[in-house]
Amino acid sequence: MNDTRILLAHGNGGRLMRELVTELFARHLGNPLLDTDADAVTLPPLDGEPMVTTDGFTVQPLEFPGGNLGSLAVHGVVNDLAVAGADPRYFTLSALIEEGLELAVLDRLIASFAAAARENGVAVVAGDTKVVRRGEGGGLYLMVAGIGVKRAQAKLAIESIAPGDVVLVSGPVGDHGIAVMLAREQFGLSGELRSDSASVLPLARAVRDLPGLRFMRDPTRGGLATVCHEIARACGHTVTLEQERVPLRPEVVSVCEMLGYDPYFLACEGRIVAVTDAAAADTVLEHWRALPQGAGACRIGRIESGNARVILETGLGGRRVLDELEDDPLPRIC
Amino acid sequence: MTDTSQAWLEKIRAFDFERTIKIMNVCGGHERSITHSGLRGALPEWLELIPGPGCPVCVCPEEDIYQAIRLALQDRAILVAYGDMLRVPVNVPKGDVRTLAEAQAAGADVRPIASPTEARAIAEANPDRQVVFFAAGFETTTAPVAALLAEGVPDNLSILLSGRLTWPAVAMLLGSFESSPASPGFDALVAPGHVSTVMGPEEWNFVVEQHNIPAAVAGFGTESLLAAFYSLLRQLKTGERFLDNCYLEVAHPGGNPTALRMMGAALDVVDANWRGIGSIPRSGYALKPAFAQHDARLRFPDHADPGRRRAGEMPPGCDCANVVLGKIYPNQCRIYGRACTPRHPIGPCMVSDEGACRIWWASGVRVAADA
Amino acid sequence: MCLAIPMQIESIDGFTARCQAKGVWRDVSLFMMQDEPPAVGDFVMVHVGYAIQKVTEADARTAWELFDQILEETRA
Ligand code: SF4
Repeated sequence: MNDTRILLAHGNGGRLMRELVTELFARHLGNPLLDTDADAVTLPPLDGEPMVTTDGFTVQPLEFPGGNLGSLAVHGVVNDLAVAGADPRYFTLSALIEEGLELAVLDRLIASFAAAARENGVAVVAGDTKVVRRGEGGGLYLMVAGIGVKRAQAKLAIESIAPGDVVLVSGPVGDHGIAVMLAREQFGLSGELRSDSASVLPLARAVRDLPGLRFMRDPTRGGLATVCHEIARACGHTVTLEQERVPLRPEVVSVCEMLGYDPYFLACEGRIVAVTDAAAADTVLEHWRALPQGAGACRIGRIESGNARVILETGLGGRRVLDELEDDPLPRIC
Repeated sequence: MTDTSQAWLEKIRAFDFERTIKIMNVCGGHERSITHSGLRGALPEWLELIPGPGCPVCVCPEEDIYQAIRLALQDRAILVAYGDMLRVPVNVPKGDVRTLAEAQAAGADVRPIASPTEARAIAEANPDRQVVFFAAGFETTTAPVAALLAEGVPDNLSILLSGRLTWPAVAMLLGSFESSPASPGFDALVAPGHVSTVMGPEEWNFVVEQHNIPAAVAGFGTESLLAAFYSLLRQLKTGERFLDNCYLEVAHPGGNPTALRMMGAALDVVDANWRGIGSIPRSGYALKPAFAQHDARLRFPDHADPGRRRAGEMPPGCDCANVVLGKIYPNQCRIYGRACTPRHPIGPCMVSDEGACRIWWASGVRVAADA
Repeated sequence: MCLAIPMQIESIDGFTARCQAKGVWRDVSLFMMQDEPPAVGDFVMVHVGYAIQKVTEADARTAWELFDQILEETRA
């Protein structure tokens, strides 16, 4: 491959495409199950209940402090399986590449995808590439489907959440949303905040067998508040967050103050929100805090009887309703 | 929460008032701080905080938003505006483009910005396009527009100015209540901190001197706000009246002389229309004739359509005008929480984060008051 | 509407100041500060990208604080 940028010809089914697949994608993603010539592959039988999920990924810029689109895509799918109580096993990857994308960039992103997959014990078993005309795609879109095996001993059912339960978070929220915004120098703002993009698998594994654990979800776009809304809607009770306890990094607070955003709606890419019964909360926190990624874990709220809504309790003892996101405070970031 | 806020709160709770005391603020930023810190719930029941005409988005004339939409759609200008303006609906038949956000979805080039300097940068980056900066806001937000003009702007940048002065609206409010037997609707006034920073706190003396109403300039932290409430309550208790400045660190006497000079050089103070309220004498800004070549109102066709139904009016059923003037509570509007919600805003007060209806909604009031 | 927040000046180039608040940087126009030009290290109140005033120390939160102080001193 001598070109420096993706050409439309890289998608035409001919030599360039074959070279792209074998010399770039398969070079990074290769494993015994991946056969770039086959139409479909046979997977070995799974040693447990299979779980499946799929997601599409786009982010600007493609590379940002703390991650890039490649690792972000793996983490996104790993995290969806992890919070459902599964270990990820097999992924498929479909890449929509925009004409003109630098091959060196693509190479870095796919290398990063491959490294993140390996770290999480995932084999990429099937893939596809398409090239779209310049201007028709944001550089690169990745579509990933993931298969995992259910492992959690805890029941993990959102409907089982009841008043008196406790809401926990594994670390500061809003980092990803603000990190990519600062990386874009949007609104003339800049900074060095790193995205929290990471696999939450270690965090999920550490607690998924605890009997008092009722539910886990990884907040992504829409942030903490959106997960709380999902909880409130599903269980029919009020989720009350204590403003002073929700961990926020200074940079996140700063941008929110400047632009009038609510940090609770900003995207995360490496956190877990968990609901436990009151007795299990401290144990979950202990397990999380023992991991580097969970050092900032804390209790942030509780489930109360009442309407299905989300309340933010302020430091002065006031209460404010956190509504579902209506406007788009940030242009789409993932 | 800081200990000082708690301390102020305790001092406020120590007052005993037999009747409800209403403190009005005229600044969207204050309203935001109050809602975000949940102050209303923390204050004693006899103290009521009412939002006055402090939401620039709410009072921006409907015709101006309509004009901005047409400039983006018809004249194919790049339309830049502060994010809040993008969702305010105008009165058009069903199916027509109602907001700048919808215009953007329909293919117009609408871009949210966070600074006038971005407007200039966008104009410089697109020399072959016309760029219109739709600048709505009060004194604090209008001053940077004057600075932008003073510094010089590219030929292809024009300003659609909807700048307003806050004090004339309060003066009108006080005047209108005095001419009617009804009470002013509020007992004390929190004056806007950043307007005072630019224009000078002295602008608000008239509230005390001419109307004998306690007034205090406040900043945007809960501490400064609570200090202001305390000052106002103590003024009410003791009968003393003065304009207190609870934002001394920023709202310096005399305001910002550079800003005042630049505003004087670039802008005329003119009679202006406030959405739903009507015209208030000498309450708006217009570009001086020297800047006519950058005045979007002169440079582009006027899209005002005399045949358009309810042009310039409030949407049917919307009581924003009375809400903005603090005459009724948001949930006394007949369509509050019914037809009008943040998801489907009818009036501007439900759109902006600084709008009273939106704020009440956020504080948890979900149903219309029984009439 | 964007809010005004205090930011600290780290460097100045003409009328543009590089300012920081809690790990977030922004180029801020000092064009409206010509009568009282701030210096590196100063805090300025920033609204829509423009410094609108220097932030100074305030000795009292409300005039009542001074009033009470004087009252106390005369009593003592
Ligand atoms: S509830 Fe809606 S329609 Fe009624 S006054 Fe408020 S914004 Fe206007």
